[in-house]
Amino acid sequence: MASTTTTTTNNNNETPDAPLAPEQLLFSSTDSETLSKNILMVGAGGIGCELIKTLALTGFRNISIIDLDTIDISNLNRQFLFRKKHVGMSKSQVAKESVEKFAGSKQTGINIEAYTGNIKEERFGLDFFKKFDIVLNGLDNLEARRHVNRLCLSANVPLVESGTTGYKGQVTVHLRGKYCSCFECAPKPVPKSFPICTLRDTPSTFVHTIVFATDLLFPRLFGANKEDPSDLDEEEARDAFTRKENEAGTAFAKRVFAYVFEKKIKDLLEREDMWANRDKKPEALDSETLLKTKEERTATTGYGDAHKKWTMEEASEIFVRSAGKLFEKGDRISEFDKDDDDAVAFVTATAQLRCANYGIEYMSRFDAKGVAGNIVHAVATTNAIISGLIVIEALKILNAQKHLDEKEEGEGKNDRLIKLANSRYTFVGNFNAGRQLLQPLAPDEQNPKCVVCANARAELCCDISKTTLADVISKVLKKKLNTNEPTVLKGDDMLHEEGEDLDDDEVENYAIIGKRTLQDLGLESGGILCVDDNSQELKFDLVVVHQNLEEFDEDAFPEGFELRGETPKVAEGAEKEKDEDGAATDGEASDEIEIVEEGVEITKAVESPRLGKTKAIASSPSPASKKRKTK
Amino acid sequence: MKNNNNNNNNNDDKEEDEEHPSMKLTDAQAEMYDRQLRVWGVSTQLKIAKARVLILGAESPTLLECAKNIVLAGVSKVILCRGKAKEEEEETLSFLVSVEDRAKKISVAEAAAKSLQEMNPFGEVSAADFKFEDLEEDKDAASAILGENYDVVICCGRRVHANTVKHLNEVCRERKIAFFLTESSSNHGYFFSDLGDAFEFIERKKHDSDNNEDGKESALLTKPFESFGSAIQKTSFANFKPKRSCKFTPIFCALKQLELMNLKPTLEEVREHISKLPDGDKVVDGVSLEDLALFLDNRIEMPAIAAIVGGLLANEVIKSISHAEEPVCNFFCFDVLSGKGAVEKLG
Ligand SMILES: [Zn+2]
Repeated sequence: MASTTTTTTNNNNETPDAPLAPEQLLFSSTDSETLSKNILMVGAGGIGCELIKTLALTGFRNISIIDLDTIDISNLNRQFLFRKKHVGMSKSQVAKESVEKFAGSKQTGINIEAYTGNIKEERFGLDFFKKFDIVLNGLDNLEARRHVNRLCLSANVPLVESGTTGYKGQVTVHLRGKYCSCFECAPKPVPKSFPICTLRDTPSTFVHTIVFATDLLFPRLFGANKEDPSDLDEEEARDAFTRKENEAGTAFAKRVFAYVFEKKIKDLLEREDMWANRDKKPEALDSETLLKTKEERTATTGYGDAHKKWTMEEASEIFVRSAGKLFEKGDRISEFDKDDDDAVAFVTATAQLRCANYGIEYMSRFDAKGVAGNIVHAVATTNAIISGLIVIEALKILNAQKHLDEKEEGEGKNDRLIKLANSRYTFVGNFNAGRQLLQPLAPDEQNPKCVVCANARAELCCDISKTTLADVISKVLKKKLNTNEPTVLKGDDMLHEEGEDLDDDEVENYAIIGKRTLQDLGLESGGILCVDDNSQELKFDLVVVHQNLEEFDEDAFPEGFELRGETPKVAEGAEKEKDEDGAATDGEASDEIEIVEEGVEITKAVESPRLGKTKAIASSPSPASKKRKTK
Repeated sequence: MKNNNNNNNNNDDKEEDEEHPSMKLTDAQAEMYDRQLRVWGVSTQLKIAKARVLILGAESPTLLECAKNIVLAGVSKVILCRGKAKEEEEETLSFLVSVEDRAKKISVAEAAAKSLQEMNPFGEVSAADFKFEDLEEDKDAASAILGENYDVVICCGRRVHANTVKHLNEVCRERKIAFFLTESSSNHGYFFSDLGDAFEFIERKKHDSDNNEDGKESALLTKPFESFGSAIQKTSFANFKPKRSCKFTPIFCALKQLELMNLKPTLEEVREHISKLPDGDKVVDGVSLEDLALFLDNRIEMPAIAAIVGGLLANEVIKSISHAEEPVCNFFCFDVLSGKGAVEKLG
């Protein structure tokens, strides 16, 4: 880096909270000491490739990089360290080798440690995190990002967080402290859930029709558990969805077609109360005509131009033909897979036909695939920009650390650090917002209600006579609060434990306890469950408040419970801090900008507790958990 | 211009590329470009696939970042021109030059062209030589040198004389070539763009991703740009708003004004010269000698700034090709200290 001859002593040092001078943050201070710091990069994807390149060019010499993923052809438009010949290989390994090609190897320049694995694995626990001076996240899923946040808090290592989608992106800096927030202090967009009845009977958007196809119809016909009860199984539906002995796949598909797009709609229309308060009624398709026209075109193969919308006749024919193909695959299918062309064609056709039923604008196969597979929009440029911003924030933190008093400890030290470093949250891609391509904001302060970093309690509002402990563990603790291996206590009673070191009879015992409702476990409204997750060094109290299931608004809380506690902080004094140059950091804008995540799933159906089904219709696996399953 | 790669400039440049309605992406392209097709769509991808880009001064890290981005985007042809002799090149690390190529003393432009070609086999990347000095006095030389038909010319601003930039920009204007100028240092980076007198683009109304109303409402808009010479000369320092502007923008304009007047003040004389410009005292008032020194300290390009400016510039290059988003008009400056990256209108 630049070596300047400036020897100016910085008077700012006398006031503890004033940022350091530029040369102490970036220029002359970026010396050999800074550049030999230990850096942990989580993620070797879109952001990761750009980031490791920018770190190496800056002169950083000790970098560890973790990714569980292998290289896919659709990565090559932006993950420039990978070539076609690398498809199928470990991202972190290839990234290391590609960087060494220009930056030299361990002997001559740079020391890169590449790990192929999931960041949630035990070997990447607290002791691992403590080895690093800073952690830089380039992750594509919320679950892993929240996990890393918790470990960084425990290990007291600064975290630079980032995310991109399309042209938008952001970089933020997190530490535990009163004047700095953790990644989870601000509420995160959760996957949208739709009530089953909306999906099944009253869809109003294209997304509804896609989720109907991927989460209801597809699993009912082709899924690994197609024999299990489904939310689609109303009285006569069971017949319609059961393949007769020796029935050809396409013949069965035609029966399903006639039921789903015609018979079922006609039945619904008879329920007049249902349509009394709705603008428009659905329209049944004429399955006989639609299915007849395609007889002459049985020779058709393929599904045509992915960007062209199908006609109704085409969609009908493709519904039957793709279903036939999928039946042939039989047990090789377990769930909807966006990389299976037949599955995508089936889902697209189903969605289009449903759209015709309900007068909804439909989309091409390409767009339907994007919605169904929750595919991230991504370009190289945004990742490159974000990588630059991450490195700048990292340099500022690492250089500012040198000016901290070694003996000082705790949160006050972190507060000082983030001020000295003049850390910023930067948002990219809101061009129309004030003609700023890059918008720097002062970092958020700690949210006193944050369960993760502020020792706040979480509050669960649910029907304690119907909610079981297992529900709380899977739907609340794991899905909403992102715990990994939670232990649950009520007073001194251990209600739940998990992990590999449990005996079989312990596992069995906890399974039995899990089936009991909270009421049966002796919990009253206002009672407290203590939750402790060793793998994340996270501990908090969960206050349970009773509310009858019937009193929950189904649209707002389709899962039949409400989790409070992680509420966003009230905008205390809309006036944001002034930054170094005295320029206002656009306090009002901070609320307008939504934090974007690469790869947060858009849609999923949820089990409706009112239907009393024992099986969850759709879990909502994030991309990462999906990958873990297949690993 | 001397072309090192001799098989790339004859046939396809001459033919007038008529819009082929039947022109489609191949399956291989659709597979590789899938994620970005979801950002900008097929028609933009097809336009990008026909675009030819000339990069002047390819040893600049900012330009190499930009080149990587547009090669990945899928442009038809990129020619990287080195702006100085190999002996003058500095020994900075580049992610497009391998350790072996650096040892073999291959020029940055040549090594980078090779790496970029591997990055995207669907486009064509080559290297060539170029001498900026020849154009300083002489617009005709610029005209002769831009003999080929390009869609975009991106010029390095580092140590390239304002007159050279002015001449190149004028030639691009005459030939309806989008022109960009860029530079970054250890503390700031900028780019300037000229997309002609009336750049047409389609503005899509912002939509919620919830409602699938993609591109429903759109309007064809026109934006007037100015050439580098006239934008710099017309800039009035009275108009800068310190809160909105990057503090380096007025310095940049003042220095370029002096350069266009063929003045070459030393660092000590710069403030005095600037104060003599119309409203120049406003620049001098807001700028300390340290700021000036920082601005002029362009010994090193900070890789992080190169990544940021090269990324934002590549977005603008794509917009100039696609006509599908509102472009930055006409100047962007990033200041690493404040973290601000502001768009400003010069001229
Ligand atoms: Zn927090």
